[in-house]
Amino acid sequence: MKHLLFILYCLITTIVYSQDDDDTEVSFKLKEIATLNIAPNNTVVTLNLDASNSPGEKVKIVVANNTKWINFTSAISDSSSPRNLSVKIDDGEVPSGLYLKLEIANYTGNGKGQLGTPSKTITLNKSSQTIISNIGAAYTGNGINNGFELTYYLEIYNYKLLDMNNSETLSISLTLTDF
Amino acid sequence: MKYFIFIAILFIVNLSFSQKIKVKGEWEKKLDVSDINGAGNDYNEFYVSREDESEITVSSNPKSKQDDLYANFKVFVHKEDDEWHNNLILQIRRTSNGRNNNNNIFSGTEFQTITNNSSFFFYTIGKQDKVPIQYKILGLSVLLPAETYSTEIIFTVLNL
Repeated sequence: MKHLLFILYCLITTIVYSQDDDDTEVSFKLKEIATLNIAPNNTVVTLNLDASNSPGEKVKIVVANNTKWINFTSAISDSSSPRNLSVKIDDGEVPSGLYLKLEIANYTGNGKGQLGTPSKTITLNKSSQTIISNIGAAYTGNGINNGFELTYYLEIYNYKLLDMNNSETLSISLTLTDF
Repeated sequence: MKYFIFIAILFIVNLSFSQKIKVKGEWEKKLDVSDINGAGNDYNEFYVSREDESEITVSSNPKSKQDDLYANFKVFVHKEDDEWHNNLILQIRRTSNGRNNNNNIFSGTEFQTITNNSSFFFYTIGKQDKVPIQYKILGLSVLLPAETYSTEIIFTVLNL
């Protein structure tokens, strides 16, 4: 009987220890990302002044394709600060007597994450100005109707300075930056 | 003395029925802006590794012709996380048999989720040499903190 128990004990030990292990590793390195896009494209926004035919009437501002959508993807680490989206006139001068304004709508679309807070309206100049602040890890969705709609328009601040024969082409840059 | 001999015999028997498993090949993936299909989008819903990202060999130990032909080996898999995120789902499958043309291998050809608890992966009668393994990861997103996520995949073979 003793022998039988001993044999059983040894067999159980055999079963318990009859295994082997080996391992490998998988890893995923997610890099920080800051990328943006203008939708539907970055074609020219045209803003015109149309002189009235009737003396005493206001000058009309005629616009074409003056809205764009800004899409972005932002990936950040826990230790990084949120980002800002800023805008400035890179090249060219706004004709005298006029302000070039930019209106930033609230976010709409299929995106997710910490999408940031838009400024409502700014007057564009050659200094960088924040139009969306506190952007964290987020994506807006791609294409029109995703992201923040930007509307460019002109505002006349001094009729005397207007030169109806003048034409200017401006280059405007948008940048997604760390704080 | 009799007991000593008896134990020695059982120990030898034990060895003759044990087995070993070897795994080669790690999956390391880096995701950056080139993996975003246009600004405004997230990463893809999932990514898969090469079909033979890892290779598993299961055999007798010490080497036994008989066990390499007829022994039953059952392979289990689980993971132990180093740096991981709850949104990540890691899956595994074998894409073929071992290179030694042993067709007596069963299960494991559909992707299954690897958890932190051991679960059955595949079963073979006899040795399998370099069974090709493919991984699939779901849940990677720009919304996760940008850092490195890693986990150890542990394969266990039992002789049943």
